[in-house]
Amino acid sequence: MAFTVLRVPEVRLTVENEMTKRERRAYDAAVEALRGEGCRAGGKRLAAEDSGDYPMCQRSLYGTWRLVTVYLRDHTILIVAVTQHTETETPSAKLAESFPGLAVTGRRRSDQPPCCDDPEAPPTLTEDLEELLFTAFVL
Amino acid sequence: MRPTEIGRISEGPWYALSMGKRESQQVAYAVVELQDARDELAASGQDVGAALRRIENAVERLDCLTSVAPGLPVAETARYLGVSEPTVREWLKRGVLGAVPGVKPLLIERDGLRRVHRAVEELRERGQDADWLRALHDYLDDVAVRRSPAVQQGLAEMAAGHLEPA
Repeated sequence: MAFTVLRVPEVRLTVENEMTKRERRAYDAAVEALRGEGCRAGGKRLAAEDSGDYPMCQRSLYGTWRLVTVYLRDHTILIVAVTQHTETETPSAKLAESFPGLAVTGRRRSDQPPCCDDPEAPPTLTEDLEELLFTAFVL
Repeated sequence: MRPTEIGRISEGPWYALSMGKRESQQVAYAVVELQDARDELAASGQDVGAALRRIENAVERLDCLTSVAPGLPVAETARYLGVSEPTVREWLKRGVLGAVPGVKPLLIERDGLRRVHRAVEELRERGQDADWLRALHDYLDDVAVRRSPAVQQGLAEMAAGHLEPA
């Protein structure tokens, strides 16, 4: 079964204007894989903030580039963004920098659920803790 | 009492006049810690009503001193929260902590500081659970991707029906 893969215009602009040839080849290969394999080529499933969120996945491309996809009920796949990802600027890295005792060691990306699986349940957080974490590290 | 203060005794209580900036900040720190102790006692569920009232009275008396600093300096805040001074300054920029308005050098507001302290303590306690901590790291990273400007713009274009074949 071939899947329909669409993208927003901003993705085209990013691919055409900001990617090198090699990076574009990685993008094209990812699009082909999505057409042929659907969510199995989507990378890892992103945790949902609430039940109203679209199923969303993130796949590594070449270097620091990441491809973010959304999955609709009619099996259409939308590429909503291609972005560059810097490990030192993730909330996880900032949290570990502020609280060295709370760094996660030996964590493997493959531990997170694949794109076709249901997302992991978010960790339970009190209101004060959620506000601290989101304001200090995410927003 | 310092000689320069002797002539000003009639303007206010002697202990206020004799308290230096450093001392007044230390009293502010002590007030914050007393308030934390009061909250912990209150949350313990034990019959500690009398002790709570004594702490509340002490806090009230200390807070009435006009010379008590309205907040804590960055260094004391860092010590109280158990984080570095750059982290305190970063949290000020991001709005996690608030500065007392119109005061230089800057002081961190006590009420907001206590709320952040509770959250930090909770984070440290729950972070001992490796599974919870791993889930938290993944969750924060995933939420950051979802909320990133690029993804938000993509979702807005999607909602507006601006789509094309990939």
